[in-house]
Amino acid sequence: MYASILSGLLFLAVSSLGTKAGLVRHAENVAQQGVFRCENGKVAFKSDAPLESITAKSNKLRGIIDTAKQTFAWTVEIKTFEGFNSPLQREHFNENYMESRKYQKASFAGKIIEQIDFQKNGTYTVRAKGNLNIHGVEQERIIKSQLELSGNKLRVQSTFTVPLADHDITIPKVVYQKIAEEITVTVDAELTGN
Amino acid sequence: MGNTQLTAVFQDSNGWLWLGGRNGLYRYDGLSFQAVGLPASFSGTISALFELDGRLWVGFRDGAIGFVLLNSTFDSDKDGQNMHIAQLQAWLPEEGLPQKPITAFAADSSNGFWIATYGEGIYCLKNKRLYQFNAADEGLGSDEIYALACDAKGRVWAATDAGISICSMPKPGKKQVQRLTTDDGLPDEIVTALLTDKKGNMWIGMQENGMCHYDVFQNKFDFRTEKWPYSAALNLTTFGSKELWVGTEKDGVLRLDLPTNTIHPLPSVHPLRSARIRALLKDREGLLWLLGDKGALYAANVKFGMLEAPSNNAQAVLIDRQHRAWVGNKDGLFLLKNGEKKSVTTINGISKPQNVISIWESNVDGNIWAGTFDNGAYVVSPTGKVLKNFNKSNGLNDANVLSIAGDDRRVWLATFGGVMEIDLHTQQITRIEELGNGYVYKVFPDRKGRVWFGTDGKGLIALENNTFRHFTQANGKPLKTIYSIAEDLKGGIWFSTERGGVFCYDGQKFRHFGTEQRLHSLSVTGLATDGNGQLIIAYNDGVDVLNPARSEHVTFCDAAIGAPNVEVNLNALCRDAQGNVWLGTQQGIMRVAAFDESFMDDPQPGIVSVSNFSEPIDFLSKSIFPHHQNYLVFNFTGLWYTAPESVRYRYRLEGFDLDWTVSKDHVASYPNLPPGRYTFRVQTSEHGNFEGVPEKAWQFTIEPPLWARWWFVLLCIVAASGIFFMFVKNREARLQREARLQREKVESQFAALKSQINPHFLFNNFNTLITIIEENPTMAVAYLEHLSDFYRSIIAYREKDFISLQEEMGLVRNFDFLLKKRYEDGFRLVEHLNGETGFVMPLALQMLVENAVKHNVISATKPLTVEIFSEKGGYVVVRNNVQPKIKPEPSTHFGLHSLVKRYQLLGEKPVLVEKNDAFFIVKIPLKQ
Repeated sequence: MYASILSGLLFLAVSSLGTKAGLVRHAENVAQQGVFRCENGKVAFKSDAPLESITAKSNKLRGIIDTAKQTFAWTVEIKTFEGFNSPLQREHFNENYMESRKYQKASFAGKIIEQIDFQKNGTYTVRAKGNLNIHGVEQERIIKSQLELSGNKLRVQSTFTVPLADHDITIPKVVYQKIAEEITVTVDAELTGN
Repeated sequence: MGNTQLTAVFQDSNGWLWLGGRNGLYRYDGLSFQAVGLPASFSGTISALFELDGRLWVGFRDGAIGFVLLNSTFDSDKDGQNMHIAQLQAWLPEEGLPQKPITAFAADSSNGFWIATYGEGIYCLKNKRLYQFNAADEGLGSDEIYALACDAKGRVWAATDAGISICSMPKPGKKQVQRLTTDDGLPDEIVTALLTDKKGNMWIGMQENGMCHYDVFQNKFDFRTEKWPYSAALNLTTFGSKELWVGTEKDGVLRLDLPTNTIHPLPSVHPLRSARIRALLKDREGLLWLLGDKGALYAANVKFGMLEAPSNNAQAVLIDRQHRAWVGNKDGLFLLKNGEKKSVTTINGISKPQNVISIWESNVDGNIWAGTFDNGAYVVSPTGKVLKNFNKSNGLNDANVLSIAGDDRRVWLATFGGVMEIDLHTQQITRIEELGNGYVYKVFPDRKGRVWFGTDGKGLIALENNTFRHFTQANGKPLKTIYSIAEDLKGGIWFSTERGGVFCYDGQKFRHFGTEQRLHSLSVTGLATDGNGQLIIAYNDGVDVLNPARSEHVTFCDAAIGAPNVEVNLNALCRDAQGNVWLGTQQGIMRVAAFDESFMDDPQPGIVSVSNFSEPIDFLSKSIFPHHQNYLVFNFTGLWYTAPESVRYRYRLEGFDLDWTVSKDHVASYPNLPPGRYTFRVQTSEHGNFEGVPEKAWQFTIEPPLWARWWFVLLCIVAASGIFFMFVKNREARLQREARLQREKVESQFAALKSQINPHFLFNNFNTLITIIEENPTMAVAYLEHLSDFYRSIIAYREKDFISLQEEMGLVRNFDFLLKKRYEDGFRLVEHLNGETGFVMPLALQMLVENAVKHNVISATKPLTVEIFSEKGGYVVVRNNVQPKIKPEPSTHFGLHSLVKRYQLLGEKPVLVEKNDAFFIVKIPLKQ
């Protein structure tokens, strides 16, 4: 919930920039050119436990990057994850572990540490500092990502790990043989500027 | 090292110095540099070094971070010249590395590892995760961090352009940032240096306003420098609680004397006087290491420091209760105001330059007494006003005042003409008769109220309770001329003689110190004890420091202190209120600091590498070697940066060496060690006296060879007895088998013979002979010849185990001839042998032919055909068609049975017997 509010705030912030456009012309240009959005990014996770490997992915990752302010927000609905080794496993994932009815979304919002010139096409390695909200628990994280900018397309790729304990996802110890304590998350999304 | 510009210096917990530069990382032992292997990914300049959990962390200007495992072993080239240290390993956190210069590292009290950057704020590594603190999000003063330090409360202080930001993260993600700025009383916005003191409070170095100190318990500033005409303070270190050394941006290194809050820059001639100090390090021995402007490395023994003096020849020196230095020389008496350059004051009222030879400060009024050659003693007020002159004119016997001392009632002047006592109330001058009228060099009141006089020729004289005690000999040696007297912390009186070294008198007996006790020289020009009880012994060409607690430990300091061949003038020594000793020398005045911090005073031994047959071994984890790996070479070190070339080693391999070996070499070889348990011990000393010096030891075992271990010997015995047992058993079985074979052979021979001399056989043969003897006598002769041949062959072959196939076939042919004559067309023998060679048992084939004749019907209409041919696999086959007699011949089956058994006993291939309705087939193996 919190994350969605946060990303909502971010949207507000972006639109408020628009209203100030008359005052600061240059900023307006940058701001308008500098908002990239994405509705169908790919996010996948992999749990590599000794006895079982589980993968699932969603193509419903939504994201926004404000290049002027170097801020970003990403969110994905938990129940859009597909894959798993069985339908039962998916149900279990949604109901027992992620409690997706209660915590519908996972999100990551914050700032890009590196100063990137978004006017220039190219590939950049950046570190994104923000709050990662999964299962309603927020953790501050620095996540390394690859940005590939060409025209008004911005491709974002990233791989990072999420320890379940960080987000109060409790699993009996014996189940660690089937579900890894650390989940590897991969993001691949193409954002479009306006 | 070449032209490497050094940028960072660090001493690890093992005592090694690490130097980082533009193109590498080096380990330095005082004599040589060893390069660390740097992976290609590291190409920048090293900007920060730090030790945590056995790792040396290395930060680079391009944001890269790596580490060296400090306890990994080293290996050297074959010539031992180029030592390569374990590689620098890249640190690659999942979060990625900073892109901005790494400026500092720190560790807090809750397992947090802090990394400061210039441009990205601070990172904190906690529970393997990296968190960032920056200006925008967490409210740091700025993202440009100059320095980090951890305080007593476990918080990390960061120096920025906007004051100090005090950061902490008690739990992962729980960030706390507190600001300390000019609003809180910080004298300067821009903070450039931080240093945690012993109690965990903070020293703060600023860009313009010098230094201040913050008490983290009271939350207040409790010290700041008054005036700071210097540039930014970049790096800091303390010596004890009274001295802070500051590396500056443009003014070299400054010494901040805390009790007096005075600043002492380097002498103006010093090469670093206006240098930027890139790094400052106090090592374990109390040496100060500096990285100068151009990345050059300097080491200074700051225990000894020359001060600028009004003239080169300081004949007397005194530090008064206001911490001001009074200096006497041939040109008069001078006052040096602390911390200020060229502030020499000539005392008013001394009309012409006086030759000042001694100075003393009165405890009563703080007046300064100055003794001169030829003009007696002057009394000068603390402000510099001459109050009185005691001279020949007003009662002095002699106007050459060599030494002045006194108590609250009296002052004694030691002159060329005895000692004058001046009563401070009555100003009356009297000569002490008891001390004669010759030279007296030194007058010294001790803490017990005794007064000691050093005379020329009359020895040492003590005045106690108005009685004089004369010491004219010590330990059997005459005491004549005494130059100098001092008292140690235990009340022992130390005095130096003309050319006889130093004595210590503890009230009962004397101890002598000469060159055998490693005193630098016997010509001592002065003695003084410092606040720590160390005895400073001055010579014409240097200084010894003698620690009475380890009485034989003497350090001679000359070139290493930056002042080679200092000439200390006679009795030109004094102690200041802080316990430092000051020396008046030909070159100026020198301070011998008494730090209230202890430093190592011995070289520290360490085992650098161990190799076995030139192969470096990981001796930290491996200590057991097989018997053939018994050529061990130990490479050790004695870290002693004060004087690295004077280190001496003493080593001993316990279990091999009976005694210690003393050497200057840092390598010990042990070829061909017998199996056993050993302990290698190495000790280091600066001067060859190994009593009570530190030691490093390493235990290892060379295992006995396989054949000498108890379990192997046991195994061998078991195996040997097993083999013997098997042999005996085998032999028995063989003998039994041989006996059986022998029996079988005899039985078979017997059977063969029996069958051949079977009357029936003979009868048949004779009948045949009868029929042909008349009608064809020639044939009869031939027949008889064949018969006799047949018998001769039987007799000839029966003893043999094997005969050749040809011989056997000859026998069979003879037999065939006999049978042909008897049965004519009823019997046919068909041979299909193509010159096969080999051996069969004698009579084997013959017996089979005979058996065929014996058991089958033979007639012209039903001929019996016996075929002999060879078969693949090395068999000769005897096959006959089966036409059994209606009344079978009585048979014992002995012949065939015996043949099969004999082949079996001799371990040959088996004899194969096949029988069907048409044929009876026997296959005899051909022995090659």
